[in-house]
Amino acid sequence: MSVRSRFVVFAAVVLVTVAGVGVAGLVTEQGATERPTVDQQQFQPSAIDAPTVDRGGAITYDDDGESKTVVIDVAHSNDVAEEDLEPVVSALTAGGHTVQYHESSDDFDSEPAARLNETLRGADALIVVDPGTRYTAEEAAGVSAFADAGGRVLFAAGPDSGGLGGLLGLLIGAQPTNGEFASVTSPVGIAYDTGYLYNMEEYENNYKSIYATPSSDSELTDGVDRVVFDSPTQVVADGQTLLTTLEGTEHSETREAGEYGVVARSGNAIAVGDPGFMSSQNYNRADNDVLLGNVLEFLVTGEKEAGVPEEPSTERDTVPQSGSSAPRVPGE
Amino acid sequence: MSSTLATLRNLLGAVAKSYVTVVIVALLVGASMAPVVWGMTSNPDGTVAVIEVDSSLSESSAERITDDLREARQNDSIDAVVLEVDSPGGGVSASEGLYLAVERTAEEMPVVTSVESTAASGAYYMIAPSDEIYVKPGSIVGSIGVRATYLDVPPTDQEITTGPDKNGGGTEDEYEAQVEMMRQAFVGTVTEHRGDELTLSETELAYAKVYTGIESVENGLADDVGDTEVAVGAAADEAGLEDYDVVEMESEPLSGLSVIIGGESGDRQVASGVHPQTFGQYGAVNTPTFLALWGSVDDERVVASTALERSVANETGGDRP
Repeated sequence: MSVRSRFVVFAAVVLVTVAGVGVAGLVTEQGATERPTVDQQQFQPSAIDAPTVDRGGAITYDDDGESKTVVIDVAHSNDVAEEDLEPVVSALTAGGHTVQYHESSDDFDSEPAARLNETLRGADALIVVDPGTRYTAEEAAGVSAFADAGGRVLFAAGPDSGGLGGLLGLLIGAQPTNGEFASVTSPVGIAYDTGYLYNMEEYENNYKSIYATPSSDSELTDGVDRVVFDSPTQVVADGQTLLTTLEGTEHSETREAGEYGVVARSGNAIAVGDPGFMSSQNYNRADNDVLLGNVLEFLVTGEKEAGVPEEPSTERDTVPQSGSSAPRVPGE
Repeated sequence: MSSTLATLRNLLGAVAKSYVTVVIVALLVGASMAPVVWGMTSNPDGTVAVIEVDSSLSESSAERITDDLREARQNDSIDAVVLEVDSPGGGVSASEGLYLAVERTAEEMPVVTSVESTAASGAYYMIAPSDEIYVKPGSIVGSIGVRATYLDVPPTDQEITTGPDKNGGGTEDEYEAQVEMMRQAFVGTVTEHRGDELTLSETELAYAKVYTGIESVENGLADDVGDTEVAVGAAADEAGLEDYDVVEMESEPLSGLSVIIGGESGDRQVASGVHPQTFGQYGAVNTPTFLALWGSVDDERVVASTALERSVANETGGDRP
């Protein structure tokens, strides 16, 4: 064999080998890259449903034709902002009624009860939302006398906002805020619970936005099918429970399920377990506007005796000492 | 002289012809070849890859885990995957992405999870498609829920915007609806993959409670008590491997950023893959964010959450309890 023929054989073998491997690669289609897809049913928009919140309606109410004065207490570090009460203030003002704010005095107030009573004597109704400081016994007596004399009162407060109920609340030392409230609600026969209510089964997009339905026939629940409250707190009254949460609602602290009262009435006072139901954001959700109309009607149709509450008759010196006497410690 | 040579030649010839010599030479040759042949005939049947998940789930830590899972699918020598998980969850989208990657892998090969100390919220989302989930008695599992947070309120009064939601992104109601949608996808995923074992209803899941390992074996969120070695064995069994190798997949070294973030705490172990974007921090920009996380984030403000077991939010950025 010549050198040349040997070289030809060599080249042919190399060529055949490489070509064979190339053809084999084409034929076997090795190395197709994966193209994953997402077929999970639970990720498809068709499987997920969060309806938009229904809003609509306006606050309407009837009155007896008289212009009434409604006082809103803001003297007790009340956790209430303008937008929380704007719908109420607008509806009252549009109906020809007067809205007054009872504010704390700028300097040291040695006579808070006297000032409050003076305000209440000129008022037909009182609204108290989420107070942050305690009413003195004298102030509370004034509010109680006001309600007994036919003055209408609306209390509204919720649990401590921040959603820390139960164990977590204990862990960070959150104080229940309704201790401040009890000082003024107890004398008129109303008590606020601690903790918030929620419902894991039936809610409006969040377990804390829950429904309440009328539990008794009353002018205050007239026309109300169901209202929406945001994590309300339970209220009990020496009188009538007006609205209760749906069955299966649970309490944040005890986790017990049940129907909890969230709107109740005791004589001339109404208590609502959610301060936010009157706010611009919530007043027209579900039938909140209907409930609110009924509440305003209740506030402006009372007949209060004139001159009540009287000056607090305490064991104060008959000689008034202008602004220098220390405030009395109210008996608990 | 020649006679001596002849004698030597005869002697060597005899040695060469002797059976003993033949046997000795044969043994030497056989001994040198035996390991090669042994190796050829008794190689492990395959490999179980262990992928570590040991940080909160952010886009960057998720990327590393997703790459490892893809590598496991593409590498012919890997026959099963074990996820070694210790994570409280993290961003919702990061968790959802990891869930998809784990399920994609589980369709091709056995995937078994070993929960070290925690597989909560987004981390449970991720491991839900595993063929088996092993826990230790004191592991923490669960927290199935989502929360929307913002870390900083965007200013609204000192600029001109083109629409009412340009800064906030929407109303609180809308955030609640979005969180609710994410909750449905999350709970739907868990029931889809664990439904046969679960004794918990969808509502009970949505409470977002955490359970110990023992409880989770009882309620079906986990399968059995075991550690990573048990999980590796189970994965090998499912892959039909009698004899197998175990390979630890690469986990990313600490990035410079995470060292800066956690480095001030001195000797505390810094979690890898810290990625502030997941928590709504894009450099100087803060955005609202959705978290599937058990635990709190500094300065977190919760807009809406789907469950009771929300974090103890540090509303004021104060101390943790």
